[in-house]
Amino acid sequence: MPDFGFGIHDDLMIDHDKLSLAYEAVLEEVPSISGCISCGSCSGTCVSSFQSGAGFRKLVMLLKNGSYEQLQQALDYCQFCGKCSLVCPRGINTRRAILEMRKQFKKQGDDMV
Amino acid sequence: MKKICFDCIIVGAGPAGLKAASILDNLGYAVCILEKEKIPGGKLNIWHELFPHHESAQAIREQMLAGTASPIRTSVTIKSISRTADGYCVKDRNEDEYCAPALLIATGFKPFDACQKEEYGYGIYENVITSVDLEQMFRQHRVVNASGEVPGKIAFIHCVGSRDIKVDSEFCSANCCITGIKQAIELKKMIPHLNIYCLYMDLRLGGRFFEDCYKTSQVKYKVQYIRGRLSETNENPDQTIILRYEDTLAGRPAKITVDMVVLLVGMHPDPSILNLLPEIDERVGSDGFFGTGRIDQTVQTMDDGLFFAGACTGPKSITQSTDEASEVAFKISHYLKNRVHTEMEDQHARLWIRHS
Amino acid sequence: MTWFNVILILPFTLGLFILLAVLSVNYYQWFRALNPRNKLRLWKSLSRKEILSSITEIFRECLLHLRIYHQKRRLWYMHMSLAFGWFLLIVVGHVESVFNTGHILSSPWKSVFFDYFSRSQEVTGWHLQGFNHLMDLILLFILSGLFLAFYKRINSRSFGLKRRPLHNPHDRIAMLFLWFIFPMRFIAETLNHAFYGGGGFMTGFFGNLLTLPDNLNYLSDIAWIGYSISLGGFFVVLPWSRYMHILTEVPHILLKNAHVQAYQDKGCTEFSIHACSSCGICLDSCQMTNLDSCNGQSYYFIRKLRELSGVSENRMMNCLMCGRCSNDCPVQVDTLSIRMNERIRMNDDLAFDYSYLDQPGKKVPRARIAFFGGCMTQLVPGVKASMKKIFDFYEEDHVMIDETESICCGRPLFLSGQKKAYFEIMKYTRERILSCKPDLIITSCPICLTTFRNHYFFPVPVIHHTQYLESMISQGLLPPGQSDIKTVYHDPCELGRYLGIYSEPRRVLRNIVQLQNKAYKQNQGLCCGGSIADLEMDFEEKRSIAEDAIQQLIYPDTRLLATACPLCKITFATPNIIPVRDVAELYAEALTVTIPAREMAAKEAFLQN
Repeated sequence: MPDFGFGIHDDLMIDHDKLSLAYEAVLEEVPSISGCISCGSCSGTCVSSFQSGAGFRKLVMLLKNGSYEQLQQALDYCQFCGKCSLVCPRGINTRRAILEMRKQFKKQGDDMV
Repeated sequence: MKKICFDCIIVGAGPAGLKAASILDNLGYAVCILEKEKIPGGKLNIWHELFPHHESAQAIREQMLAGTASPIRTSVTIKSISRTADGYCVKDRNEDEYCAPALLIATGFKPFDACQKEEYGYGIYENVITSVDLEQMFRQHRVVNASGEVPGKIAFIHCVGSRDIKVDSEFCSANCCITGIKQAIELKKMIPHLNIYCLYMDLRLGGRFFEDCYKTSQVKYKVQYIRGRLSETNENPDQTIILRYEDTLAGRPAKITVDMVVLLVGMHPDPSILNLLPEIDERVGSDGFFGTGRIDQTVQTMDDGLFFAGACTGPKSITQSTDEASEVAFKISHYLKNRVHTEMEDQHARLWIRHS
Repeated sequence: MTWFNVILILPFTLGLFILLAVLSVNYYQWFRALNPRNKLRLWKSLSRKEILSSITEIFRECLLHLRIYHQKRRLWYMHMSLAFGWFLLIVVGHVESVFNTGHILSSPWKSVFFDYFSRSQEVTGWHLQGFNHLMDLILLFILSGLFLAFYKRINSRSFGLKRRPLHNPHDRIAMLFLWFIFPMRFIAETLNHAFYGGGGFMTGFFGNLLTLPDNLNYLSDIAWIGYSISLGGFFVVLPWSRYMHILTEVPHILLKNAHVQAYQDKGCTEFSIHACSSCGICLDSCQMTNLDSCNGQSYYFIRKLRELSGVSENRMMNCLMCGRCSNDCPVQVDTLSIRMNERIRMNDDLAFDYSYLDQPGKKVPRARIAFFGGCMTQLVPGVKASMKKIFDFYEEDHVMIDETESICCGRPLFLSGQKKAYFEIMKYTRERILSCKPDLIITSCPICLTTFRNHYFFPVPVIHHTQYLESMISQGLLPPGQSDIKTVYHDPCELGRYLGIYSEPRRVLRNIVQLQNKAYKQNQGLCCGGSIADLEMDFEEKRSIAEDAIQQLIYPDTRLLATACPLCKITFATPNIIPVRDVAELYAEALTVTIPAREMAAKEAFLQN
């Protein structure tokens, strides 16, 4: 299998060939999450982003790319205030998505494919 | 209380209306333009320079007005529009009636009311203005903040009132990005030491020479572009504005303090004509503008003498408005010719019947 | 006791026995599941005067259903005739059999199948005849209600119910049995009197009409057995159907009057959900009923809890938690607490990490008044700027705690069920607010205020900004001058139903604008739909609730909608139907802007829309 010279460290490279199962699972419950355009309003208004460095946009990005460890850490910081859903220009139900993501980790523990 | 008949009545003396009038004039039709403002020209009266080549809006306006000899009635408030077998009858507040078989709606757009985005602070913080307000300042050749001082840092906010489900406008206004770049360049020409930051979601620069403007603004005028949609604004005691957003390319939350904030407001449909002609409600698309946006023309043209042109059918630049207006003018001419033809046919048929 | 008699009374007696057994087991289990403190409360209340008010309430609500009477008359008659009628049937039937036999205590079937057992007796004496007529009257009363119940299944709108509640199989079977009981009794008694004479004005009359040959008298016996089976069947199915409420309402009322809340109390929750009569009135109150995709109303939620399958996440999260259902409930089931319990049960174990909030260096300067805007204040800077103007005008020694950054009170976490996380945040926010050592805490967000009053236990008073403004007006500190802008005030759910603050905002507005609100009925306010407690609905559904609510609130000449909650303001401003202003913004305008300017601005803003 040609690797086009992508023989670098696994952690640094995103392999979009691999499907993110957690993303599919969250997508089933919250279909609107697929409308994210990564504009960043959510992170800009997030109560915790300025202290923790992660807003909802980043959570979606980590979820899509399969970086579950970072995602789990970032999820812990959310205070659930709901401001992100008030500013989202695509009308995504962000809080439900975060709740769903938190439950995914509770269910499957650390071993997520 | 007068009643005058024309071949075509055009509602709106903006670029589209004026262009259609000039073409119909040249084809020999009697045209009348009704304009609600005191002076004709539409939004050409509020712009200072036009993109992409910084042409003077005033000059273009003069040119367009000179291109048509049709009467332009200004300060007209239309009270009612009724439809008869002969065509349309437009009655204004003074009970004057204008009749014609063809009616062209070229009412244009209205800029988004930025007070609706309360989190941006328009109407609450004095140093938050819109692109329309800034253009006013350009016309007066004086750009100052609320305290009357020349600003040192300005931020442009893209997509205010566009692509936003929360203000019910999910469409892209297509022209605000280039407006922002144009205004940034104008500001830098006026105030060379000014620092300008543009906060954008995407840069939609589809027209000819638009990308050149963008590159010029970056390379020659050192305008800085940050990818991140503005979330909140706040005011310092000295009336400078703090912006809160995320630098999405860096992936981290960010803040900046500026002297003035310019909101690039979108182009919104102006539905006021629907009050007068409620039956054209079905011609309104899902985004609030007239028409369906389809390429297949046979579906959307109804043979009833009602035509739409210009920004009222969707966000457009001036070139696009005049292009559409030319196309529609020829359609109107075709329609009027057919009407005369059928009338003559009817007359001939009656003669024939009488003789036989 | 002939063998036929045994067959006759067997279904009834067996059913009754099973019912009492299951009931005792359930009640005992639920009683044991009460919190120790609540158990104590219940015991204490039984020995005090409260027991008298409980008994009157049991009579008023379980039998006469007076709360439904005040809401929907036809529905009331239907429920009341069945409940009160059946009660009378049992009591008067028992008295009748006592009169007849002379014994105070007789077996239950003697009074239930009285006409069967007294077949051979001659009816003499006006009092015995009177009983016949009385029993017939009561039976007629019940049958009229039954007819209405039948009609309601066909046309529920005539009863004032927007939607017909959908029943599940258990309820349907129980309902069938119930619907058979009284018609079977009527048929059995009529046939009885047709063959054996006697009877009251109804059964006797119809019985005499029927002229049947005597050898068909087994028909009467069959009818009696049918009656017994209906009764027995109903009793057996009852504990697993909605009719459990008939008996469970009694302990529920006792608990309610003992001030036992269902919140975090498993036993009280069980009593509550089985006391729900599934009347469907909450479906009418719920603003989500108009949305097609809704399945989370209290009616379905409580029923799902009764079933063994439990509640799905979507159903549980799909609730505005506005409180309209529990306000209108004739049984006064505390739906909010029950839903919170379920949410906490399912979501309280999710991970969180708020150590980054621990910033001891971040202190707020000392001030007399601490103003807390709430996290949403940054999205409605108009309110913040107005409060600042007001404080500056009155030269108050104040500090705005979250002027430059958003701090969350934690209630959204709590409402989603993450209780542990909520208490963690509460620690930090509480410390931050108290770090300025205020004498008074003012907040502009009712959601924050609810949580302050419930859990924060501040050592100083905490009030809503409308209460502060009202106190300013009482002291005569508002310059006089009322504009003629016609305004409607909307009660936020949290400020109204949760906190009971209705009059202060109205008083403030009456001094500033022309308030169009009619005399209000407390707790009847609409929810804006923006609820942070509802995680399931998407943006379009929430907006349609907001649009509906606005159309119901405003009059044709209303120019302004006033509210006192930032979330309501954001939610109502989104559909862009009418300008929305917070009470603070109007007050600040009244201080600084002249009346003609205000009226002009309102007119322009209205024309823009």
